[in-house]
Amino acid sequence: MIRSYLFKLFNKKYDNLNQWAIDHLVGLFIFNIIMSLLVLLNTAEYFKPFFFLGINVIFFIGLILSIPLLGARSKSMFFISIIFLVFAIFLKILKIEIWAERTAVYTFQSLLIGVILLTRESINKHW
Amino acid sequence: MKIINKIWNNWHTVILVALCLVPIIWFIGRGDVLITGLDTNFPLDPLVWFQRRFYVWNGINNAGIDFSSSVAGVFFHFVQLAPYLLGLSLKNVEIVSLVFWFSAIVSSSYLLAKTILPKNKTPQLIVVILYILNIYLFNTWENVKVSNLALVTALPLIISIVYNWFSEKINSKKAMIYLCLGSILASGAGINPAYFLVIILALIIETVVYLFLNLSTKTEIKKILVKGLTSFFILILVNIFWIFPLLNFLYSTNTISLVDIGLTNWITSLSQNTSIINVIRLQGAWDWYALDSSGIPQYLSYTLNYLYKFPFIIFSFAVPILVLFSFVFFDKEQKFWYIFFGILTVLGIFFGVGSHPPTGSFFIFLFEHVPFLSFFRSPWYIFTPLLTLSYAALVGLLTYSFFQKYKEGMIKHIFNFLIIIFLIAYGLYNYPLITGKIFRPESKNSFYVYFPEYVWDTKDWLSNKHDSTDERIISYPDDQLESFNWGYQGTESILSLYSNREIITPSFNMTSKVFSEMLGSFYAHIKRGEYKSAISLMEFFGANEIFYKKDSSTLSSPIGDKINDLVETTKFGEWYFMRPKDEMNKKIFIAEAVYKNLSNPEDFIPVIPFLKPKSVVVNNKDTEIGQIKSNERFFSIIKTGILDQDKSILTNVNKYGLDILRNGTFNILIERNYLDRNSLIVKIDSNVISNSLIQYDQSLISVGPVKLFSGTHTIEIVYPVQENLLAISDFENISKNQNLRKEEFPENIQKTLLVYNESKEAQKIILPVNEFNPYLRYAVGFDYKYVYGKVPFVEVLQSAPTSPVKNHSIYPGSSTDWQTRYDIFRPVETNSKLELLIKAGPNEFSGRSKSFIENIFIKRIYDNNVYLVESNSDTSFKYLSKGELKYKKINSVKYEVELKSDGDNQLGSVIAFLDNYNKGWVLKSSDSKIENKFSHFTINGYANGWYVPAGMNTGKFIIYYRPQTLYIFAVLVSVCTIMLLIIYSLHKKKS
Repeated sequence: MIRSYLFKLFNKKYDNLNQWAIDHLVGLFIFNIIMSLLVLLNTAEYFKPFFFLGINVIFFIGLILSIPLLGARSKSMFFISIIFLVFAIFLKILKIEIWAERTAVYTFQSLLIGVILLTRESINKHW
Repeated sequence: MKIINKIWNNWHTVILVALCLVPIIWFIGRGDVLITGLDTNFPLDPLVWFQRRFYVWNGINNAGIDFSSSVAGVFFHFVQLAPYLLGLSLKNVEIVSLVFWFSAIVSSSYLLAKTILPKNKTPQLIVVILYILNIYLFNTWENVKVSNLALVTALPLIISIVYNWFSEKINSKKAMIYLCLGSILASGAGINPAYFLVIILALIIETVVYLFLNLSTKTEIKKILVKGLTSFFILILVNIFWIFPLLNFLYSTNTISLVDIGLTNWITSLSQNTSIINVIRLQGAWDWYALDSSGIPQYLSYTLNYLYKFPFIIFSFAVPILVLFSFVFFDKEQKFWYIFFGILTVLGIFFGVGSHPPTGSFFIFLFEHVPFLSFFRSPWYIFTPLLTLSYAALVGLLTYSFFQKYKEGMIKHIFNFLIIIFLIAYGLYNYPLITGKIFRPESKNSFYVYFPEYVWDTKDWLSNKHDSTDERIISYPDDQLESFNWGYQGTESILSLYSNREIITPSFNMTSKVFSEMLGSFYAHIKRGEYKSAISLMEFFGANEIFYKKDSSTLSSPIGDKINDLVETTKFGEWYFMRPKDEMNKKIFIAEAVYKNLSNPEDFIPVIPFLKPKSVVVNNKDTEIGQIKSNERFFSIIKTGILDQDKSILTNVNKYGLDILRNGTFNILIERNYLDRNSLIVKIDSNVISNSLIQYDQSLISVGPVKLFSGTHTIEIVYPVQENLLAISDFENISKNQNLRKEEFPENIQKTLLVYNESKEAQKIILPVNEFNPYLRYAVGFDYKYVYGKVPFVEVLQSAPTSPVKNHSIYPGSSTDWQTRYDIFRPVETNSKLELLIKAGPNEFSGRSKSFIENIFIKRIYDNNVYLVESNSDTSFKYLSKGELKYKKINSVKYEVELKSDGDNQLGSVIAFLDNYNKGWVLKSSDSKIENKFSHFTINGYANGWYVPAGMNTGKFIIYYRPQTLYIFAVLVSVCTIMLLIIYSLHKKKS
């Protein structure tokens, strides 16, 4: 009974995901290209010493790009925020302080974008 | 039964009332104590403190300071004053005051909760509990911070009123009168205006968000804008009584940053631990992370739990997680609150992080480029209330949306059960705030203080002394943090907690450098036992009593019995009040001599003991002085410059050069620094001065008077030859026992010290020092040759009987040829001994180390400063009218002065007023209605002086602090605003 329910749920979500991927195929392609390029530039320390293209910046750019390219909405941002905060707890418990701090930064970045999106969505609906 | 039913039906009210009474728990089982100390400053006489809030000049501490923003504390101190006047004991006064503020926060957060979530009581209660019990408030309550409490109280109240007004749930009349009340509660935030600006920021965000979400018609937009602006103006106008004087102060002193008003900018140190992960868990207070080398908290023992214990670490994330979930379960009907609190959360985190990476660089950019932003020097403390309010509201919204979804059935009961579990856990998590552990009850720095009986005896004595309000007390010892061995610690003098007597005391925030150095010089004289010189400095402070606290925890030397020849002492327990037997200057007097300082502003301080009684020192560069006709007659003070700066510091012959502008009679003054009588040879322009002209005073050696012509002169002083103070000169006993072959020892084992170590442990050689005097400077040096292994360290160790005081290391280097090294050692001025330690470090892998040291010396150096002070051999010579001055202190901003010149109508007078110089102080004649513009200048490097020209120096005058008039005007505006609002709200329209 539960097994068949889970199987149905998986199939349904899988179909949704497929549909979403088809809808955002171009966006996904560009998104991945940009992210790969940014990571390469980071590895090569490309803009140093004028600008440090760190992982924080890449993550933040990724969040912003996900809005037009992947159609991300405020709820997605808050989910990302929660996931990173849960991960930060895990790291904190393991006393990996630096990584916990960095993960909390991602939580804040997602929250910031989430609040901006939420505001935009609410105002758009209102207007 | 009915009562039980009533309580059962109003369970949430019962909980709210119980929450209001949390401060009572803090006192249970603690005895007759008060919660005070450090920044808390609970007044031991609330009336005295309340009265001070009506003047924009506070003359109590260190010759006074502009008090413009502190008048904002008037309501806060009224809350203490009211129960005090009703006759309650100080302990009960404190309990009433704390319960009042706790209740105010509970009430205002409950009002907001009712506004956001009108239908369900459980979410309302969650909002209140999360807002009144959180880690941020630990620090607020620990120090009973007026600004924080005002902000935390007013913020939810004002947000709630403005929202209800916008959404027309209350009419304009009610909104305005409620806003008036909220503004009064917010007034305390003006003590640190940055806190007040947070309320303004929240108000602006609320208006903008509401406007964007409700853009429909032009009329609607106009309505919201008018309401938003009216709220803003009510907030400003009710608080104009402190805003206006503060702006006037900032404008008149050209202040745009903290440095301009002598405050320390500590943003970097405060932001060291405000990482995002700490800020989102509200754990950004700096004192949480002050740990010793073994990781034990230095101040707050309870932080051990929060930093290291698993349940506390896990639970610290509970509220932030719930906040994020609240956004996921977004309720469209509450979109205003989600967006508003979402913005506050983001801003609260961003600003709370301060200069900490990764957002710190942007914050610093704003900090450096936006005027007045430097006043937000402790951003975590200032902005976190935005975060705590958002957290409370968003968690409330989350529970509310669940209750809306599951109104019936099993899930609702499970949810209720989970809420109870969460709230219990939350209460346990915040146990230091509930139990009073925030006041460090077990620590030696506890805020629970029991005051000894003699503290109260002193209070009575000070208040019973007649005509003593204008007398100043100078406190000793000189620790900036006043610390008593019975527990109290304070940043200001304890006397200021209950007395109006003016006090000179060390402080972290001195506004005048000269004042600070003069005070340092007074303490140096006391410590050296140069009591006569110390008392002569007291005249320059207008002080006539020394407050000696024998119960202080200090490293400073005790005052010796010899002072009893010069003072009369009144004793209360461990406190001594020493009054010089000779009559002293008061804070307002006619100068009988004026000296013109031709060097740096602080350079006259060492010669004060030599100056004539009732004299003042002015700065030659002061343009106001240049305008006084008789200024050419003022005597000069010149600090000489040392010649041949490059010569060895160990010489006993120093040459000083100086330029004299006019012919005259001078005294050469040499800092004595414990030089024996008749030990000096003094030459002026190569002519030896007779010993009969050299007089040895306590702190100065006076040579002269001598007549000198204008031009360049050279003074040569031959000091006694310095002796080596090292107690050992033969090192054979130290060196001979080493496990070396004969030829590996130094050639001369008596002269050369062998520093040899073959073990894995560090070895040290201790060389004692004879006749060490902590009030002198020393040169420590040696010849050194490195052979092999680890390089040793030479350490100069100064230690008091109980602990080391100062450690100065000299690294000799690794030269294999002989090399000479020396350094200057400036001891801490306290009774102590000195040793020279030579430390050979531990060896690794069975290694060995070896070095040679010889000609070790420790000798005093002669860095005595030399001054020239002009005098006049003709005693009948006059350049000032002296006469008589009487004055009466009306209050801290007004003095009535009666001046009677000595009858010489050709000469003017200089009036000295020893409060800190400020352009706002004016001297005006009370006989004429026209304000006379007397030359106003700085005297003694910090105080006010006026030149009253000939012919005008008889009559009645007033010394007045002009910004007080602006303050009175501003108070009238505030009062009128409140009255108008009351009248408007009571007014009924005729139908």
